[in-house]
Formats: sequence, structure tokens, C-alpha cells
Amino acid sequence: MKIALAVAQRLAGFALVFLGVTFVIYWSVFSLPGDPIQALAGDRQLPDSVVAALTEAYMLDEPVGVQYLHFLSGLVHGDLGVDLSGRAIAPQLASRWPVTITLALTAWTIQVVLGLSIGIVSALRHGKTIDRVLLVTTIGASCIPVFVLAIMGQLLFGVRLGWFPVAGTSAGWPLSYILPSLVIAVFGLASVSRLVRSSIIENLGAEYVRTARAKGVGERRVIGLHVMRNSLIPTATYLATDLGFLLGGTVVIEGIFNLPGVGNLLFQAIRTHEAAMVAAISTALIVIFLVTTLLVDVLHTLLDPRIRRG
Amino acid sequence: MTDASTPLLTIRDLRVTFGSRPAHEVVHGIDLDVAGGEVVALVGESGSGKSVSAMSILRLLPEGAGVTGSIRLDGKDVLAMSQRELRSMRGNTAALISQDPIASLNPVFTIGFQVVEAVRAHSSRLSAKEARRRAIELLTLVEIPEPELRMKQYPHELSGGQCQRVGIAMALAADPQLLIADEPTTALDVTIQAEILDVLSRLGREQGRGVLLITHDMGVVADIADRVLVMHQGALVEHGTTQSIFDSPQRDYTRALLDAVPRIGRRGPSPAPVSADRALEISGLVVEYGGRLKRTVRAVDGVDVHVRPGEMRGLVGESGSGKSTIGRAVIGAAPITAGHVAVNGREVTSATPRQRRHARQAIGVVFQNPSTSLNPRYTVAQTVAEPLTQVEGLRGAAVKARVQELLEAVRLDGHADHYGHELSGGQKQRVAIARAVALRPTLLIADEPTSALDVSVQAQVLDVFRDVQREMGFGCLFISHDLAVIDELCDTVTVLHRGRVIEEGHREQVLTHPSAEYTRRLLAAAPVPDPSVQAQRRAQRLAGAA
Repeated sequence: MKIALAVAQRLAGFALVFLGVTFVIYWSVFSLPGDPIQALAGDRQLPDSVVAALTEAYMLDEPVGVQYLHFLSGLVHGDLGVDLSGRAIAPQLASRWPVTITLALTAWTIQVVLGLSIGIVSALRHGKTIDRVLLVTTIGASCIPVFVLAIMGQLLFGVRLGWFPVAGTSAGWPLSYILPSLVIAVFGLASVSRLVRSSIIENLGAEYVRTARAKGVGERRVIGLHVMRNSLIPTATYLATDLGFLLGGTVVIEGIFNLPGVGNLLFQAIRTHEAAMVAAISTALIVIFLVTTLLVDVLHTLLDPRIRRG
Repeated sequence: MTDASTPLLTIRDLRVTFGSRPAHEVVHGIDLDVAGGEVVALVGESGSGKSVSAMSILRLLPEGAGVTGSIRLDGKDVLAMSQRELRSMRGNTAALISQDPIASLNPVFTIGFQVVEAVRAHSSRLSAKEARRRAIELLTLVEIPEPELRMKQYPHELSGGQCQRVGIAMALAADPQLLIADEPTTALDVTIQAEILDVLSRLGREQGRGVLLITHDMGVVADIADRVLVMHQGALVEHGTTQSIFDSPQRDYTRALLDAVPRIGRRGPSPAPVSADRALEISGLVVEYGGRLKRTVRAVDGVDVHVRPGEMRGLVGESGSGKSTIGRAVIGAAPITAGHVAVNGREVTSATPRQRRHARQAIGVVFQNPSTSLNPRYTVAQTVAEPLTQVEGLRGAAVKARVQELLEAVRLDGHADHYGHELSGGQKQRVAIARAVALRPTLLIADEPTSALDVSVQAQVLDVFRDVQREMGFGCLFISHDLAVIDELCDTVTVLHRGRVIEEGHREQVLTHPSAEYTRRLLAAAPVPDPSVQAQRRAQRLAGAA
């Protein structure tokens, strides 16, 4: 009963956030200066009848509230609408998602493996040389702007060494995805490894660790089980949020590596004033964000008995 | 078991250093023996090196600690042991019972998991089922109610006392000959403390184990120790049988330590306050937490308390009695569900936020932990000046003069430019007192202001407190779990239990001739620094239990 109520409360919150955020996005896209119909036509002058027809078809002279309601009712029927060229939006999105999801999962996995390893090593050797070297390297790497890192990567591994394609997805997974994923992972590495490190160090000093040692429990078990299990709680939270963020598409990386993902599509849509497209993608991103938050809470509940049975 | 002639534990010339270049020596060559069946107390104030000495027996000091001298445990040289030998010694020959029972259990594993782990650490051949049975046996041994249910629970679902029993059960898992108990009851209520001490004394004296008890509490020492070693600044000051240390301490330090321990009845008669005015009037106060999704908890359940101008009112009770919540409700930091709170005759419950804020200026507050209640980036002078400049709007020389006056009152003149970390715990608490009285409050709320301090420091702080109160004449609600402190400081006492008032009256009457059964139990459970009295009480308690 208690849980059902909590879930209901949570879902009501979701609905509110969803409505609020989609409306703000819808409204701000429509408030952008510029004329979408003119943008569609380029330099040509459109006949008045065409402009009128388009305005009519896309309800451009309706107030933003009415347009928003229309958009919502479309959503309810599973219809994301059509873009200004008359193509349906849903299939366009559907063709872009696999690219973004593949990129996100690859980058995330690299980040998890590298971040955890670096974090664990520097925590267990904290204050020693290896810890300092890892600190300087990871922080240094994440200080480089991501586009510089990306272009350096393309130059070195793509052009000079020729290990990976410079851009595009024609080589498929994993070849096409390794370079962009690495760039994303390297950028986020410092945060993950620092978090893991500090959380392990904190737990190493905890009293229950001393208790475990005093019981005669071996060092490997003390660290592998007692310390790690507790350090996992903040780390898992961060990593889950991070995955949600990556699934939203990385506009810069998709742009530089010319990957036809959602981030790329969003960027184009904003440039061409494709209000319906921007709204559709943003809606998807909001859903991802909400699901991620829910996932983080569920994870927390699973990992921490103090929350599960508080 | 080892007999008394060849002690279980022999420590000679133990020295412990921290850091390097230059190494800082914190234990300066101490000798210590513990035989089987004997409870040896290592007493001293914080920083005396008692815990460090005890942890070096298990080689559980933090990295970077250097240990020299000799530690022989059951005939083996502990300092020469390999990691492997250490592992098989820990828990098996000597086991540890920690100070903070909740923090010393891993929050994400069940009680069962952790006790079973202790069982299997030294008998890996046991099957899971046998280990589980043994774990339940151990929990039963330390008198945990419903051990099978506890196995499935997590540490946060148990009380502090139960967690400490789990800690003891884990320590007993491999039937060690030596138990090292590091302040095992400091975090617990007195009635729970008495029960835990009973368990420890039984495990020691009756079952032939050696117990090394590290404590700062002379009452606890008088209760269960056979011999006492007094440590001060890393050196052994005095040692002897418990009776001789208490009856005829040889060293000044030991004498001072014993004198500093507050005792009930030492103060003699004091006049009862008579004024009809009220600095604080609380009637029918109810405080509830929770609601909506959570179960409602009634922390305070219809409490009446009043404080006259100039009266020191002690509010005493165990954890969960609601004593701190009452203090918080007065300053508006706890939700008042029902009842009335009036400060200087002015109702604060129905007042507007502005009026409430105004009323709060007449209230000073001193919190328990001086280290966290002072802003670390303020100097002493800035801390004390803040209420003067922010509320009274004083400026320049006027502030300086008032700060100087206040610091003199708490005997801290000369420390005006120091920061919190440059002060000792007692000095910090005196700064907190100076800040609390800066606006000349008519009511002071002191929430366990000395329970984080050592006894000798506590004595100084209480002294300052008494002087300041006499000089300024404010009424005071003094919240404490320590009956002896209340007896030495307060005029009147209110005893709380589970959010209700159990007994109320003049301190002599309540603390020496209590009328309520609960007060009597509380008084009987609080150990007094007198071995013969404690021996008598223990005999009575055990006879009553049998």
C-alpha cells in the first residue's frame, strides 16, 4: 500500500514535469526569431497561396497554446506529426536512435571499465605516485575541450595510423564507434574515477572495515566485499545518470564524427526551425531523463537497505 | 586457559609513533599485563593514547603508525607476525568490541551475514547451515531477543544496545581468550550500559577470558574492573587494583581525574527557586514527526515544563525520551503539534513569524557538539560578535568591548583571534556559551553541552557555565542524560521517558529520594565512581534477575 502510494505520487510528479518541460520547449521554439516557411524556401520567393496553405497545414497562425494541445493530442495517439517537408517524424527518429544508443552504450561501457579501474587503483594507492599520476592524467584529459580531443583523435588514429574510420558509420560497430566513444569516455573519466576513489577512501576509513579486519576477515574480502559494496552506491547513481545523459545524444561528437544520431538531428532541426521535430526529440529526451531518474531510485533501493527498509 | 602467573597478554615498553620526519610519539613506553579471567581497565582522557595502545595489540592502527617494544599474546610475538598470522590471530586469540556499535557494523549487510562471516573467518570447514546455527547461538548468548529475526535484519533496524550485543557476539565467534573493549558503552544509554557491562563482566570473570577495557568513565571502571591503569599524555601514570586506585590514588593526576567525576549528593542542599514569574512555560506540548507516507512518531507526548527566571532546570532522560526535541520545539526547530510554549509570558506558538523571531532573541542556545556548531572560518571574536552586530546592531568599539567582556566571563580572554581548530573541545564549548549569552538572554537552552567532553574538561565548562548563569541570572533548560551533572548544576529536575514527564521536582528530592520507579531504575543504572557501591549494586541486580 505504502509502495503503491509512493509510485502513484512519483508518476503524478512525472506527468507534471513532462507537461511543464514540453510546454516550455514548445513555446521557446516558437518564440525563436525567423520564419520557418521562409527558411524552407531558402532564397526563393514563395507565392502567397503556398504560404497560406503551409500556414494553414501547420497551424502556424494559431496561438502557441492551441498548437501545443494539438501536439499533445497527437502524442496520445502515437503521432509525432510531420516535419516541414511533409515527412513523418516518427520513422525519422526511429532510424536515428540505434546510432545514438550504440554510441552511448559503447562510450558508457568504456567509461565504467576505465573509471572503476582507475578509481580503485588510485584509492588503494592513495597518496602514492601512481595515484598522483592518474589524477593529473584524468583531470588533464577532461580539461581538453571535447572537440579538440575529437579532432586530435581523428588526426592520429584515423588519418595517421588509419586504425579507425575518421567519420561516418559505414564501417559499423565496433570500428566506427570506438573513436567517438573513446573521446566521450575520456572526457567523463575524471568525474567517474574521482568519485570511485573518494568513495572507496571514505569507506576504507569506516569503522565497520576495522571490525571486519578485527574479526580476522582476509584483506581481499574486506576490500572486495565490505568496501566495494558500500562504494558502489554513489558510483552506481552517478553512472546511471550519466547513461541517461549519453542516451540523449551528444550533439558535438555526432557532428564531428558525422554520425547520424539523434543529437545530430536535433541540431539540424533547431537550425531549420523545425518546431515539431525539436519538440518530438525533446519529448523523447525528457522521457529518457524521467526513466533514468526512476532507475536511479530503484537502484538505490536495491543497493541500500537503509532506503529499502528505512 | 592461562593462569595468572603467565599472563595472556604481556606488553613491555610499547611505543607508538605517527608520521615520519619527524615521527611524533604518542605512546611513550607502557607496560601492561592481562591475565585470563581478569578485567583490566585502561583509563585516560581523549588523546591519552589508550585507544592507540589497545589497537596496537591487534595491529589495527592506521597506515603510517610505527610500533616498537614487545607485545606477547598467548606466548606469541604480535609485532613479528606476518599478515597471515595476524589474520588468524585477530578474532581468534584476541577480539575487538568497538565504541560506536552502529558504525562498526556494515550498513549494507544483514546481521546474520556479518555474524556468520565472523564465525567462518576461523572455521572455514563449517557448512553454511552450521555457521548459521552457531551465529544464532552467539546472538542468544549475548541475550538478543528473537535472534532468528535479527539475523535477517540490517544494522539500522536495531537499537544501539542491540548493535553492541551483535558486536560482542561477533567478537565471541571464535571463542577468543582476550576481549579488547574500546569504550564499549560510551554511545549507549545508562540502563543499556548496565546490561552490556553485565555481559562483559560475565564473559570475563566467569568464563576465564581476559578483558582489556578502554574507557574514560570512572563509574564503568568502578563497576567491572579488577585492575586499573591510568594513562596521561601517552604515559602510564598509575596502576593498581581498582579498590586501591579509588581509595588511595597516589598521583595528583589520578586524584584530579577522580575529583572531576560528578557525583550525586556531593553538592549538598540548595535553596528551591520561588519566583512566580516564568522564563519558560511549556504546557501540554506534543511534537509529532512523519505523516503522509511515513508512520507518525510522537516524540513528545503532552509535556509540561516551566523555568523560573534564574532557575536551572535539568531535563533528563535516555535517548528517545524527547528531551532534545523539547528544546528544539522552544526555539522553533521542531514542529509543535499541540500545546503551548511561552517565553517570558509571551506565547510563541500562535505568534506571527516576526513575533516568533523577536521572541527567539531572548533565547540563547548551546549545542552538544562545539566542533560542528561553530563556523570554522570565524575567529572566536567574530563568532561572539555576530549576534551583537546582526541583532543588536552594535558597531566598532562597542562590539569590541562587549566581546572582551564576554570572553572574560568564559575565561577565554586572549583567544579572541583564534580559529575553532586552534581550540580544545572545552574552549570551543566556552566560545559557544559566550555566543549564546551575548544578547543577554532571559532563557538559555543547553542541549548536552558537556557530553562530548572529557570529565576534567567537563568540570571546567560546568564551572564557567555556573558562573555565567549566576552573573547574568537567566533561566536555563539544561538537557542532559547525566544525572550527576544535573545534580551538580541544576535547581530542579524533570525526568522524561518516551515523551512523557515521569517525575518533576527539586533536584535533591528527585535525585536522592525519587518517587517514580523509572527514576529509581535510572539512578541505579548510572555507575558511580566507587567500587564497593558498584559491587553491592551488581550483586543486587543479579540477585534480582535470578
